[in-house]
Amino acid sequence: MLAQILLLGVTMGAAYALIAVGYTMVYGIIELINFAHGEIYMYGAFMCLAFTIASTPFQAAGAALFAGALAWVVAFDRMLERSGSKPLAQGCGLAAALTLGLAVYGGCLARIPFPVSFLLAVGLAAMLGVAIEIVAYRPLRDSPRLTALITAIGVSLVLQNLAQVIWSAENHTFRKYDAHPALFLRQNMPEGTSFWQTLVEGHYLQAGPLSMSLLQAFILLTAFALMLGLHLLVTRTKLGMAMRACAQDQVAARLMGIDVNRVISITFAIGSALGAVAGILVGLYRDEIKPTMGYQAGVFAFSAAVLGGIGNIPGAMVGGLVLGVAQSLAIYWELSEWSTGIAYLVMISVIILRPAGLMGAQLPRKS
Amino acid sequence: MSVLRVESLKASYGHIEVLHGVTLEVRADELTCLIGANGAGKSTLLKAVTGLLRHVSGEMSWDGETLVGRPAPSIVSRGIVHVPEGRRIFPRMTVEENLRLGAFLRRDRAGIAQDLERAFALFPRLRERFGQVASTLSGGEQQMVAIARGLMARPRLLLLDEPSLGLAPLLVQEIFRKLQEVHREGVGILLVEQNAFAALSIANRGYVMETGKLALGGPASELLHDPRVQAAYLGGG
Repeated sequence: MLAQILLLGVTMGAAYALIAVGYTMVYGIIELINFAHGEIYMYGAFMCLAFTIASTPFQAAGAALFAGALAWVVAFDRMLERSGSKPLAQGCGLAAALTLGLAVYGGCLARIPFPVSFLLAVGLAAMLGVAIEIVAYRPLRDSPRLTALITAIGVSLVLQNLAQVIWSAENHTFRKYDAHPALFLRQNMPEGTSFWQTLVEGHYLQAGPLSMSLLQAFILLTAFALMLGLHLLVTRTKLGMAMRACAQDQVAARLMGIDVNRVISITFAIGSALGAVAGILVGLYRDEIKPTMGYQAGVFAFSAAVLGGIGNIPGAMVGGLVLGVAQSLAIYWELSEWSTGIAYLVMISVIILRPAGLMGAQLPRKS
Repeated sequence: MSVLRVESLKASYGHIEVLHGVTLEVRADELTCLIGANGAGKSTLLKAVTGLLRHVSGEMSWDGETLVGRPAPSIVSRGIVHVPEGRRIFPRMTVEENLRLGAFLRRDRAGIAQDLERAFALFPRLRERFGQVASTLSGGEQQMVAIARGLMARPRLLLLDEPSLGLAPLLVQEIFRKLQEVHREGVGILLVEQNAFAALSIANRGYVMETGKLALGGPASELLHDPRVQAAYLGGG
């Protein structure tokens, strides 16, 4: 029983870790707590839902306008940086906005298979992260940190309310989605089994006394694969080296010939994509998708990032797992209504004992 | 032969103008030094050339091509490399990573490996410190990393901002000897220094800056014996 519950904790922990990585990467590079990160997680889930389940024309139009705006911002910024010509950048932005807007509108009405929706939603979330940085944070890069922090909270509220306008405040679920069984590589599925039943209710994997649903296995596998990939990217590639250089000294990075704005955009894109993956998977697992889901997940993941040492990527992974396991132990000891409190208790204790977090550098105290 | 030409350059931080129209020339076959008191605008001039400042007017050109308004990466790719004041090496990276970042814009692996060897030949100490995290190096070693990192971009003109800052006199001598060596290998050097005597002694040409303007300029040997320079910067009279 304990092992089973720990497995649950590790699953949730892996999801927290995926989100926490986004907080910590952004903090590492621009020293900002991106409070809108929870909303990116939420939008990932909503966009995936919007593509897989038939949307109303209103929802489709809302999603299309939103995606179009993101495309405009990102295309305009990249083109302006590259060519320096404003009219060209505007034309490019307009073209990108129209293309993506129409594609999203069509996609929402047409219903797309889940795996494709998943990738599209993750891509859109990455774009959302990049656009937020360009519009809200970049103009404030030289202002006091508090200004950017308050802006981040504002962005979070705007996005949350926008999602409520488009999709309403009620719970949404993937349960209504009936996928073709062939999509999930199962030959012998009984007639009429839904996608959700396949992933969550049916088909448990057994390993000794442990059992887990297909979805749980998928969450674990995806989260660990993505985190391993991220670790390799940051430590082994030239792009990763540029990211670390920007995190340590942006002026010096520019003198090396690194395009700092581009590296910051890529950092936001990667962090947001990982957050969106977590949003979709947790949305499936918890069977609820709603505009406020990003808030709580965001607070947990932020705690996980602080727990591991903010700015430290392996730390965020460890922090997420510790937090997930702590919460599952709370359930084991029949304190489930305390699970949130226990997560905070763990975080506060760690911060008192090791202010830099579990994996953070132990810096000498400033006198 | 490439020449960096700066003409009536003005630069400001916010509303405060720091350079009030500076005109000078730096030849890629010479070792030029720029001396002057603290706050004269020497570092600002370097930052303006390498694209770190936004509010710049006047003209700067290299090989006849304007540099005004170009972002930092495009200056590096044109062969002008800036070794900044205070070294600014990447503290949590190893010596190797720091040097490889110097070659960030280059794609020729073989050439990079070759230049790494040249950097070690110039500063044998760095070979011993290859895998060490940069923040644990001594000040002199950090300055060596900063210079070697600049050379890894294979510059045609190397701009150095106060490489002697905070170093013991013997180390300053060593660093300056290395700069002469780099110059002999065909890299142009613009050396910004407060240590006027040491800088003028190794330079071909010198400029003196005072509160945002050039006060004097000429062959370094003449400046070294100029009574005005001696009075103001060399402690003579």
